[in-house]
Amino acid sequence: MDATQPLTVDAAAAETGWSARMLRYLEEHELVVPRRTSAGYRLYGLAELNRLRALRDLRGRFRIDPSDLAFALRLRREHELRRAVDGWLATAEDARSWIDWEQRKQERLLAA
Amino acid sequence: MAQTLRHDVKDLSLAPEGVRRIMWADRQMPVLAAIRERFEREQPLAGYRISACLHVTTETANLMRTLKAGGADVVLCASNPLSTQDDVAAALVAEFDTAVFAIKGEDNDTYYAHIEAAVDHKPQLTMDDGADVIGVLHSARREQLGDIIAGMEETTTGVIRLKAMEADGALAFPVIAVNEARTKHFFDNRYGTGQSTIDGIIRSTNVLLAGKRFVVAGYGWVGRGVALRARGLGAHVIITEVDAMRALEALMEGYEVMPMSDAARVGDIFCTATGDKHVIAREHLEVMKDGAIVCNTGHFNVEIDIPGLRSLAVESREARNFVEEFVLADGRRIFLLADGRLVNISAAEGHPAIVMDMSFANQALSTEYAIQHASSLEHKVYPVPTAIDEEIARLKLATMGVVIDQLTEEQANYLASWSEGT
Repeated sequence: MDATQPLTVDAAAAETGWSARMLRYLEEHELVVPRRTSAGYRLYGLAELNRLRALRDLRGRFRIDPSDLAFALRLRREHELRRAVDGWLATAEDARSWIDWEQRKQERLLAA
Repeated sequence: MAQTLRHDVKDLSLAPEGVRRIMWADRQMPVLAAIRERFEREQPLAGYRISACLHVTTETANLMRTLKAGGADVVLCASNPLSTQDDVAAALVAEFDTAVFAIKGEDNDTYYAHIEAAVDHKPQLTMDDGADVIGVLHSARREQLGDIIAGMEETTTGVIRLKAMEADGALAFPVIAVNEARTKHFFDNRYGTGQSTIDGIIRSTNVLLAGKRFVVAGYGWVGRGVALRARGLGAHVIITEVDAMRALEALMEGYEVMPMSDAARVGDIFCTATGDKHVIAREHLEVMKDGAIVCNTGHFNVEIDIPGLRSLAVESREARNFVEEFVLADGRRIFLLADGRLVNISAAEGHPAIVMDMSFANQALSTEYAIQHASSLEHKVYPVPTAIDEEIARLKLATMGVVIDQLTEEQANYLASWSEGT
């Protein structure tokens, strides 16, 4: 196969180890967007194929799903959402850290 | 005036948000509000300097407002560098004319420098949540001890330490143990922690309590509250105790009472509220049923033998937020909530403002009492006077619109003659 030749959705799926359905999901979430022929067929070029392979590696290393990536993308784009999620996570961590500090303080008091 | 006020807070521009949240908490603190109104008229604290070292939160802010209303000159620093709410600190400085030294996440040096700054205020009265200001006055600032009329201590641990100092003859001024007021125990420990503990268990696990065997270790005020609410949700409650009187009380209340070694075999949910260590020990964890849920609502995360649980487990993973699943060698699973930390604060929201209302009303009225009785107080740890407890109960009823009966003159005389006659 000529590596520079763009592939159709099925060929790209076979080449990168994803299903055609997953490729359409990734496109829908603007994670990997192929070019289109004048007749509307998807064409995956070298850049898209590389991104699909890299995504497969990501999934292998970090056990992330495409839906995780879609959310990561939302976090990057939606400032309000990022602030809200950060705030929520921080509250949970804060509660743990201030309670631990409180415990050490009280232990010191009792030991004095 | 606000421009010249000494302070060290994160960012004064956070003040509007702080004001908004302080006023929200204020709506849940009607007893303190009633005291504040009276303080405004009577000015019982006029001209007195107070240094307070408390969690810098919306509820504390309303206590500070109350002390200011009574005429006091107040400085506030944090009793824990990680619980400070920066917007509240800003609001106190910018809008409520209170000097604050507290920044969330401040390092240890800054934290202690801030306590020093509060002591630089040359207080005549102190308020502590863990004996910090009292500690500095008794060590690095002994020359200031003579200025002090009295101190207020909020925590049990602080009171234990101060009573030890009293026994050694080392306590250099009177201290009022605010934690020991009935209006504190009743609301904070029993109803506040009782509710928030159940809340933490439900939020973290989404478990249905009805029909479950719910084991409460310790039948103190917190244990009573947890047991009461668990039963209210349909759980079959089992109490474990070491104190015969408390065990008997639990039994008469209709709970089952048994040793932990037996409870461990039958319980579905376990909650420790004892203040002691390894109440749920390795040997108890070894015999628990598959799927047992274990949590703690006592001060320290030592009530459950967590190292023992880890050593028993062949595998562990996060099952949900705040829920760690331990798989034992024979496949049984035990779920530990919030790493054994206080489940009510870790997995729920701790005390509602309405609960802190009662605790801080004790602080405000004890301060007034200390000033009024300065000449008769010795260098001892005192409980909150009964009259203050009764005043707070009366105010609380009034704010809820509840009216109670009064003794008639005849009834009062009858009671008096009866007690004289015996």
